[in-house]
Amino acid sequence: MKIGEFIRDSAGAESVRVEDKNLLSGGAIQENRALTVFIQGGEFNGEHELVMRAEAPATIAESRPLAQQFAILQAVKTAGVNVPKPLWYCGDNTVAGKPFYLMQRIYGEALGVRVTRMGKQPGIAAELAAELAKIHTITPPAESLSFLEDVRSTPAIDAIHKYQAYLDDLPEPHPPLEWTLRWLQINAPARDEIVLCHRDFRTGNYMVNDGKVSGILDWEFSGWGDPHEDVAWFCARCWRFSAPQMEAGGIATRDVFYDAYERASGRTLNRSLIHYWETMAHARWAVIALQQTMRHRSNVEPSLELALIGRRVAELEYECLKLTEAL
Amino acid sequence: MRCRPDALELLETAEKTLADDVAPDLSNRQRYNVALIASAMGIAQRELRGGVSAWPGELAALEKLYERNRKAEPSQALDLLNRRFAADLRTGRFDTKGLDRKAAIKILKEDVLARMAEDNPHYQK
Repeated sequence: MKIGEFIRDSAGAESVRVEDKNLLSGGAIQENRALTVFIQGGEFNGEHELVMRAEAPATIAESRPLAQQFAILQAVKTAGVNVPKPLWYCGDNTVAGKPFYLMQRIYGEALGVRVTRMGKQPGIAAELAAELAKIHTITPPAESLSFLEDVRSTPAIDAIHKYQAYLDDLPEPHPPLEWTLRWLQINAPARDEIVLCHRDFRTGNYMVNDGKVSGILDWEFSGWGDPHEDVAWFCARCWRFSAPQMEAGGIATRDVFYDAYERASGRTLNRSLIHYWETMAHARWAVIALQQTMRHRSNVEPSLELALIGRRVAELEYECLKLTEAL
Repeated sequence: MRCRPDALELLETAEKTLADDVAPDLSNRQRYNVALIASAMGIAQRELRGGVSAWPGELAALEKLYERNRKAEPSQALDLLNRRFAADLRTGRFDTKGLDRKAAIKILKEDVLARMAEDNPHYQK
């Protein structure tokens, strides 16, 4: 079966023609292609610009299978989050050689360097904060998200154990990350409110078009957690690209982002928890960067880009040492 | 004795040729790849100027922390001592205030700053 036939059957159409346009940039782990689809008959009759998201040759442990990403995308769309409309998931490898799903294509700029070069964008930051508050309205148990792992101890302690296990799988020891994870363990907050966290909510993972957010992308790491984790990830130094002085995502001050989040969510953000989760953010990104580099080193996916990600670890460790007051 | 230009000089010249002669004629996508290549060559040059470790005092500092005499090859000793250091950090050996904790923090600091100088010297601290 070809992709066209899959779409025809899924859309209840009479016939479908697919034009494969090109590989879209973005997504170090997944592969995104732009498709123009002409559908005849059924409720989707007409021309559609879609994105086909397929599983990359090698993924990392943090990354969710595509079927789960699709279910999360459906759940957040239902909750009113601004995301590309998810259409159909295909788990049959005979159609495209690997699992994929189709979603509506959205337009705009997503590249972190370019977004942060546009200067101060408090409106975008406030919009994003409101979107984040909407994501955080989803709480366990959620039937369509039953595959999400329960929080076993606390979100922080679960995360620390996971990252320690990831470090154990790497060939070299990483003392600065061990130091940081130990600090995180000693200072771990008690269990509190649990919500759906995006877990990669940052500049680079949303699109901006005509001064507005056109959609939140990349749901491959989402799971149950502490709402402060997403707020801290967005503000972490490692995601400010060319504007490190703009502490909220390289596009606004923290106050703009925090205020908009608090207004939209009705929660009061705890500043010391944000500091805690920002420390976790750098440790987590460092561990993921090391895993990414292993995809290159193990020859599963040789790539200079992946090789160089491993050399970003020192600057992440620097931020960790600063946040844990070792510097 | 090796001939000149040596590895460092070759990398430097190759990087300059890439940036000055090759990059201007390329598409955006290829320019991105050239930037990655230039970045890798830059890191390689800075690493080659150093020794086994990113900072010269690493082995001595770890040996002092563990009161260990030099027996193994430096690269092997570094690996073994860093493994022990990492394990001790995890199990909390340096949790309490004292000389060991101070020494441990100093090692972490030196290590990270030295590697940063190699990997991303333009990072805005």
